[in-house]
Amino acid sequence: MASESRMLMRAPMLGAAIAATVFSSAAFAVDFHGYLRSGIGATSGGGDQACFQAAGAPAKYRLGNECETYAEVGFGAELYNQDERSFYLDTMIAYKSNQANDWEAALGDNGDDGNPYDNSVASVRQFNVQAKNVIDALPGATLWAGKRYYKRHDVHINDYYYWDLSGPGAGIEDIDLGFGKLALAWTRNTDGTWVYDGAGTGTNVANDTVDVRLGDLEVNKDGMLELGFDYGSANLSEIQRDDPGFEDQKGYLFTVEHTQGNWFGGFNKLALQYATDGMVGTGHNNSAAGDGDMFRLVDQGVVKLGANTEMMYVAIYEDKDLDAGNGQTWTSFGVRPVYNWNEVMSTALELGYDLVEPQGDGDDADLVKLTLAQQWSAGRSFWARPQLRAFVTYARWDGDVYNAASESIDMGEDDGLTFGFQVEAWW
Amino acid sequence: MKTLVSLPLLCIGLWLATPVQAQPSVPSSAPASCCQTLSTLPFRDLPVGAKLSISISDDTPRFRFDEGDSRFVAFRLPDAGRSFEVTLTSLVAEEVFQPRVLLLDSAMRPTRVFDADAFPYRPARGFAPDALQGRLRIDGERYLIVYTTPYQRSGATRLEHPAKTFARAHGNEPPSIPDPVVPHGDTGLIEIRLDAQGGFAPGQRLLQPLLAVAGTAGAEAAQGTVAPPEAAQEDALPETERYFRGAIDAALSSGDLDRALRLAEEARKAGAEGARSHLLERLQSGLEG
Repeated sequence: MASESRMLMRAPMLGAAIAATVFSSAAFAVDFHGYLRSGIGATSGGGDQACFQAAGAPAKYRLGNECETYAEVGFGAELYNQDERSFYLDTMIAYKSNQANDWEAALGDNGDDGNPYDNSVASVRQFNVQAKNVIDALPGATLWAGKRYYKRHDVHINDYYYWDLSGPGAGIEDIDLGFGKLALAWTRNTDGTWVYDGAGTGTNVANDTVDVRLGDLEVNKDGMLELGFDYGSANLSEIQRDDPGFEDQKGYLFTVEHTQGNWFGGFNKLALQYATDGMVGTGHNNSAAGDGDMFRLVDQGVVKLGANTEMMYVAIYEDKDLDAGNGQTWTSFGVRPVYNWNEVMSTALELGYDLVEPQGDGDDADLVKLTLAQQWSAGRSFWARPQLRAFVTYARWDGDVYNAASESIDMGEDDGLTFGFQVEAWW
Repeated sequence: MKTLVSLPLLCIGLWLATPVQAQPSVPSSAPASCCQTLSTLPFRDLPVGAKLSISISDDTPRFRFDEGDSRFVAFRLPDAGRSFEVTLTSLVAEEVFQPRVLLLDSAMRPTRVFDADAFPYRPARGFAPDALQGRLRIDGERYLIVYTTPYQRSGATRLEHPAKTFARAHGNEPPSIPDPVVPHGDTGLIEIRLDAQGGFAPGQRLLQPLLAVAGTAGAEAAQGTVAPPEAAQEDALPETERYFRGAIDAALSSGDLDRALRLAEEARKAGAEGARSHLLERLQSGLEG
């Protein structure tokens, strides 16, 4: 009987492995991607949920410490693909509200008029086309134009973007040099209204950033290096140039980043940055900035501490040394270990510390934040989402110096306790 | 005195007995095949519109397929005289069951095999995890068997690192880190769905293009199945070619030219080159007649 089955099987098995018929259910597939965080919380002692951030710190540790609803909804599709040449359309609309009402209309003023029913904002943050393989001399390269999140580098646990020149722009990326990949881009930002000779009204100052990146440089086993150079300057109109009372600022930002894979079951990213004058920041030029320079170190990673435990960590040191004496140093450490009880439930602890020391006179501002969260997510990876969380957050700071809370905590208080529920999702 | 002596003896006796008891009672070298022939496999019904999740574990029956011994799941398809579309998903865990699909006609004769290429890696997207996934058209076949092969089990699939998936969803630069590799195995979780082809179920075909979110094309191209080199594709056997000629004839006689063309294309991929010329001849004679 066994031989009978073997005979029956022979024709299809040995003859040929018949290839699959793969269907396309539509003329093109739409990628639906996005991000969401929202929820509800309260402060111990009464009031809406407070969120805690050290005065002057560019970021705060985010677990159980986010008070707004923020969402991004994106649709993308490859609308043309012939002979390996393709055109991809990408779109994304962002939305943010105070998370205070059902109806929070986006009238554009972020609730600044005091009306709690129109406290949200919405913005088209991405709308671009990426054209791949359209330049014969550069196979594999992608030409793009439009509004775009351009190669943003962030730290997840404190939502800090240390290299981000997103905006309207154009460029070419993935130019294969054999030993690495080159990308060139030109992006735009504006930094407020220029005032004619210190008097009359003017127009916005247009700033340009020219970005050159050399990435995918293999320097050690599973280790990659990326080198970045950004030049930012104001792109002045004739009347702006002729205004003797107006001085524009420009600057450079250099970035070296090393990414190590297979690092204790995860990875480590170390970035070193140096910037001057108008480019002191994270990638956009500030035409009104003073002279000075900045050094920044960001080291972060995710490691496996055991079969069921992963931890993200970050250390940041940033020194802004400004000629006007109004710079500062910012030191920040954070860890978020997550223990997975099973495929869908985990417990996360997040401990974050920030210290801001003014360059001149003035008090230091420091803050410790601790959050315990029980989480439910689709899968057990550190990155698995969506994630529903029940959290308790405690923060401590020096109330004689400043108030670290966004609301519900009185001036002079040294600490605060909040609790609530949040969902965070990306897809 | 006697008890004092016997106690250590008892201990030694237990110590000796333990390894003996640990011996497996069933020889592990040759796993038992559940059945003698394909026709006696335990088939379960797969109705139209059904979506089944099936765990392939130590309890799953085995069969000696031509390509080797494998755990399998066998389905009986509806007899509706029309085409169906099957979506087969194998979810990635510590290992992944890389599927292979054998179709049988109503007389339990094998008609087609879909090999590993039909079930490429689908990166995690939406809230769905990493998986191997393929969609197959069923043309009149009545039985579908999901299994794998010792050869396939020796391979592995390179996944996209979840930190990169996150970065892409978030519009961030993905970290330049190596992607994890998951070995193929003979356990796993598969999901199978049967849809009527060309049916118009609201919320299914209409919304599918929107909801069936595809991963970014570039990322999918960069990932893929890592398998040992496979033998070069051979010409199809005459039986295979005969099957396709018959199916093309049937499609033409029912006036379904689209299906006939698709069959010819499938036949070409399968190495049955003659099916295409057969179709052209039939069309030619139809025009002349």
